[in-house]
Amino acid sequence: MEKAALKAPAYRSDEIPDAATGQEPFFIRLLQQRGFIAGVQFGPIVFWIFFFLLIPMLIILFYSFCQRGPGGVIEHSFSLKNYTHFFVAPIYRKVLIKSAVIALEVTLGALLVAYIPAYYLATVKMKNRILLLIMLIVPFWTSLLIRNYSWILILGREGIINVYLMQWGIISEPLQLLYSEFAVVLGLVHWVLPFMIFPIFSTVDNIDFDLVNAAKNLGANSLQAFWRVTLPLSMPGIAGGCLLTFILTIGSFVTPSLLGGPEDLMITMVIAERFLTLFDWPFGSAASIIYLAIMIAFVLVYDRFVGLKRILNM
Amino acid sequence: MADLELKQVTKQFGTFLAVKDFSISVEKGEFVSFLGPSGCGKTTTLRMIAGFIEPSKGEILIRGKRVDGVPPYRRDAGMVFQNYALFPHMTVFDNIAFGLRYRKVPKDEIKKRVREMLELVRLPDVEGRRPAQLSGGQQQRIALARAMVIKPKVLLFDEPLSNLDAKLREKLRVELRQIQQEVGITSIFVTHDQEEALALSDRIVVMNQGGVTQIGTPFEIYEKPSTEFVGAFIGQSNFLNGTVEAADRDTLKIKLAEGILVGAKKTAPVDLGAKVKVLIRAERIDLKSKPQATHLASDTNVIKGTIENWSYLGGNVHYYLRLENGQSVFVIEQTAGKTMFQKEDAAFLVFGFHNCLYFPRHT
Amino acid sequence: MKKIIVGFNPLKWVTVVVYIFIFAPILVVILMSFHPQDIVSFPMPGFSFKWYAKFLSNENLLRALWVSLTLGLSAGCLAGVIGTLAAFAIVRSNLRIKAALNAVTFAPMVISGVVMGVAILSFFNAIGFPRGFFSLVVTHSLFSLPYVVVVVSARLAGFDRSLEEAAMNLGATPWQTFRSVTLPLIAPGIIGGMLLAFTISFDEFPATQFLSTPSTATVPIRIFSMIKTELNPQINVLATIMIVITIGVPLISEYFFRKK
Ligand SMILES: Nc1ncnc2c1ncn2[C@@H]1O[C@H](COP(=O)(O)OP(=O)(O)O)[C@@H](O)[C@H]1O
Ligand SMILES: [Mg+2]
Repeated sequence: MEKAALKAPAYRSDEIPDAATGQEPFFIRLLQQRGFIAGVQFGPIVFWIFFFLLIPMLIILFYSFCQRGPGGVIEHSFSLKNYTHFFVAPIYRKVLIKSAVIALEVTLGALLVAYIPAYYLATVKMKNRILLLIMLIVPFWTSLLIRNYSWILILGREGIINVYLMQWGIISEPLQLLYSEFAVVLGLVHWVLPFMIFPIFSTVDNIDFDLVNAAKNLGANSLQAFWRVTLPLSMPGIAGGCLLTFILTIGSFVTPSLLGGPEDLMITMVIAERFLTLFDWPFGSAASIIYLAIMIAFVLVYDRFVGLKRILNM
Repeated sequence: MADLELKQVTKQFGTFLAVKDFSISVEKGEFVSFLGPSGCGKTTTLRMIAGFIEPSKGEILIRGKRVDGVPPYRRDAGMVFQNYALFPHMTVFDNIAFGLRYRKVPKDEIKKRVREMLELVRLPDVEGRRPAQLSGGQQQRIALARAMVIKPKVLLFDEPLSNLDAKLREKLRVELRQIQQEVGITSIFVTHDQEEALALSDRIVVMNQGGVTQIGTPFEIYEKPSTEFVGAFIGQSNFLNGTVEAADRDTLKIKLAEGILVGAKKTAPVDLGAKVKVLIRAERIDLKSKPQATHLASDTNVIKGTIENWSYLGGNVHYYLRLENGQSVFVIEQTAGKTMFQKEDAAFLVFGFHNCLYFPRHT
Repeated sequence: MKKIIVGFNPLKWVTVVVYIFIFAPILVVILMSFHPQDIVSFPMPGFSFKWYAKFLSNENLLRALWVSLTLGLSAGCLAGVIGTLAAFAIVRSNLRIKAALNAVTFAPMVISGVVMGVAILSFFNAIGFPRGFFSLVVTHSLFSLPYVVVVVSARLAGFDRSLEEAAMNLGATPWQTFRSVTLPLIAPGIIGGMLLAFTISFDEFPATQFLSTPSTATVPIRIFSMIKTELNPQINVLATIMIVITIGVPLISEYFFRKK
């Protein structure tokens, strides 16, 4: 203790410049206001979402009650005509059903294609697992248009599949693979695959495999253990993947436009046609609102019966 | 003038009082520890001194100047963090030079002072490395150098050694004390490790549930704990319930269960018949196989007990005894030059009146 | 390790087949870009760079490439700034609206691009603002925001705040702390988010079709009409370039980060 007291006087500390006043230049004080910082952080995104998401949605909601005038002008005469027309004309009912059917087929297809690789990657702890996972994102990085174009090269009349099948003498006439519902579903499954694989992978990866071993220990064979333990535990991932897949598919446009036939009309294609070629914005807006309403209803029903929380917490 | 002064500093989080009425005055060059169980408000107090949080009430003065309300970067209080908080994207040199750059110190001087600091913390050859390339102990030394190079008015430590293994912790503890005395920098050291606090400090502040329980030198804290909490938190002690039976000017006779009397040196006024808790440090009891003195004569207690259990720890032995009144007592004996007691052996506990402390008891 | 997978493992082979499915279309396009003939045919009769040469003299496509690159960069930077600020708001503030904000930010990710496109078109039309580059930058940045927010939030959530306290303790003001400590440490997240944003913008078609003008036709717009009208092998070249850019850029940046 004495030693410290002896040496202490030798120690002098540096002063920080203007530590004496503790005053900052004006703009620095401004920068440090809590309100200012919160404003800078929240401001831009709130602005963006308000002006480029909420207001535009309200505008098409408004348009959906208007009418198309001569030459594509929008007549501000309020009526429910667009909506009644949409639900009365059989063609649009067919479009809605087609959209839903394709979305369902894609969801099921993607689930079938995705589950085994997701399960395999999650359970077999191999060295280059990370690399294999990154490879799954590669299709996500590559242009969807390009991938669809490639499916045309593969499925077309003179495409790879037909050429080889004929060369090997399996078929004599080229198969009509392209411009069909099959092609649309194939292209969409390819598109949504990462959205299905990753949620499943992460839930299976988090399963405590002692549980599975315990089940086997209690006499279950591998398949039973999978069916009774692994599959139920991976349900949140499956549910999340299916939700995302369904929503993305029902709003898809590029793939059904490029790979589908004349029968494979989806609701987004109706909207685009109304806006781009028929210049009937009010009807197109009404179709958009119907699409949004269906999506919201779907999410709410899903939340009611499956629970969004469980998926979002994943 | 005191280097650091806290006046009735209070911090409230919502309705929870994390620190209440903390007052202390720390002299130049003094090394003060805040000691207490985890959650008692040590870190909160330290962070109020550093300026990361503002007190709800009270004043903080550094070298006589009020600093509450002054932002942390104008306070001149260097801090060493528990997890080191070295900047991972900078070299050791840049880490240490960081504070000097914001003090507009010329380049050559920065170089000189960083090198001096590295010498001081005995790591002269690592200035080009990244923190991730250093061991935990080395990182902590760099953190110390980084906090000291700016010559702060006070140096704050928040459990700086708790992430290190036991051997290294002790080595760094000795070095830290040495460096602190060499430089003579006023230091506040937060820890929940009593041994650390005792070994390092000029004074210790014992805290409990947000309040200051006792401030004193390590000697005072250990020998004259002001409350039962301090006595229990620091050291290994026995607590026995009793009532005051007799008192004269210097000594008390305290009756334990079944009428066993112990004598204690009178340190505070008590009423006859008052309920008290008796504290006896485990290592202050001598165990004898024969009663060589008379109980209560010449300020010494001699009480009979039976060895119930023991554990051998090399340097010392822990004995667990039962007194004739059924109360258990725990004794630490050095092993050097002694024959060990065995289970069921009778043994006499011998301890002076001055080793028998007492606190009021309400239950 | 290897011994576990002795013999035939059906799970493994299914996985291999799925990986082939994933990569087949990408590989086919790259292969085709070196096809020597006008009409795409199989098997390939040879190997040539002639479509690359043709492509390099196709001004329309080159202009589209330029539009797409500048658009992607602008939208990426904008989304990078807004998304980073929003990530700070979401991770660090304790205001009530942050949960709602977090949810709304993800809306553009799940709402159909077509619907977003017509809505934004209607908005710009209603305020009398012309379609074109600016409206595209706005729309693409909106689409990329959720990705930037996710990536930067992840980085921020793992950020040790005692580093910032240490910096301030050493005399750096909050702004200096942000510049010298916070920003450099979350920069990989921001750059990663911006790259993702660029990729998204570079591929956006559904909304872009409503907002682009002939002078701001992007690569996807050109490709779409080329696919719809004739199967010109120059698409393969463009596709290969796009694949190389969209896969290459992240890989290159990854390489530089590793080195540093
Ligand atoms: N920002 C805060 N908000 C609410 N409670 C806090 C906050 N910081 C600390 N506390 C509470 O204050 C008490 C004291 O904490 P602290 O000072 O960290 O204790 P310790 O003595 O272990 O360092 C703890 O109970 C802690 O939960
Ligand atoms: Mg603490």
